[in-house]
Amino acid sequence: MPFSVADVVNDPDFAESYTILRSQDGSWQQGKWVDAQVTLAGYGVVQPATNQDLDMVPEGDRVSGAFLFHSSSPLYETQVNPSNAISDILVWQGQQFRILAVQQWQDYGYWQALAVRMLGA
Amino acid sequence: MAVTTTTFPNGQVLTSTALTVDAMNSIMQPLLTACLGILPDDPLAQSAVRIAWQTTGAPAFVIGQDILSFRCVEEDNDYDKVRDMAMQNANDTQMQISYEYTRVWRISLRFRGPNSFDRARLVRTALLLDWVHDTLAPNNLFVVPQLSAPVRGPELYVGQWWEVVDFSFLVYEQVNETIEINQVASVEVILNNNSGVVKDITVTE
Repeated sequence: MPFSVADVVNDPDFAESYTILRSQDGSWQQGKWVDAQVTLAGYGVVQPATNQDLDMVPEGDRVSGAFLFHSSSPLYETQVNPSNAISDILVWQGQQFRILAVQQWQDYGYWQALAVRMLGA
Repeated sequence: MAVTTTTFPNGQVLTSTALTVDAMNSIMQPLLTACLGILPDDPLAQSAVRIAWQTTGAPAFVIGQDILSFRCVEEDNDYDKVRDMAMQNANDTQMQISYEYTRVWRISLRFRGPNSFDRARLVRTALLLDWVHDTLAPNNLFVVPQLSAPVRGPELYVGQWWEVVDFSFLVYEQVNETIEINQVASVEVILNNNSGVVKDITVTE
């Protein structure tokens, strides 16, 4: 039986609160994806995954950057099965991050998601 | 259908039949669905033909599923260069200018799924039928009948060859626009020569 590290993920010395905007019960309507979104509470360790990069494009400055979010409950990227849904959006410190990849370590008691800043500015 | 209006210094657009991209999508989605033989009350009518470039993405599809995605973009050719223009006085201070011209849309289709090539040929054939013309004409849209062949090019993705077929066609849109600009009703000209003679002239239309 794998050893669960959920206690570490939820350790208040390391973990932080964030909000999960989860797509569910979405459907296609006249060729457009229409979402139903619910708001859930998230909790776990949040770590920077990359440097916060500044792209100086002709129109102005754009700031990108990715973070790792840990959770002892599932996090989702876009999927067709088991439900039709697009990636979770995680709100942390007033900024929105869209999940690009999920590592399923549920046998060890946690999920890890790589998410990128959505603002782009 | 969608009409864009705007104002500019010394004038405004009164009417314009130019379609927005959203309007084009709304026209093309049910039309392409019908070209594939999918009836409006079939659940597939909502999802078999999809609008590309959705802002926050959308669930995709599996390898055995037939999906058509499309996008509408404007492009240039010789037919969009010429404009008919007519000018007439609206009143003493305003003039109306009416334009009529052809706008060129390219509708690009990407078919995916095991039947993608056959479905592309089905759409290509259907586009020349009268009912397509009858559906588009009320929106001032007309398919250019010179249609190119679908291009089949399966792509390697996650260890499997996925069927992909590209096909595009042109649609001409007849656009009518009327703008209104300000004009002067009269101009007062005062001539004052070196010897002190003053002449006051008012020029009216």
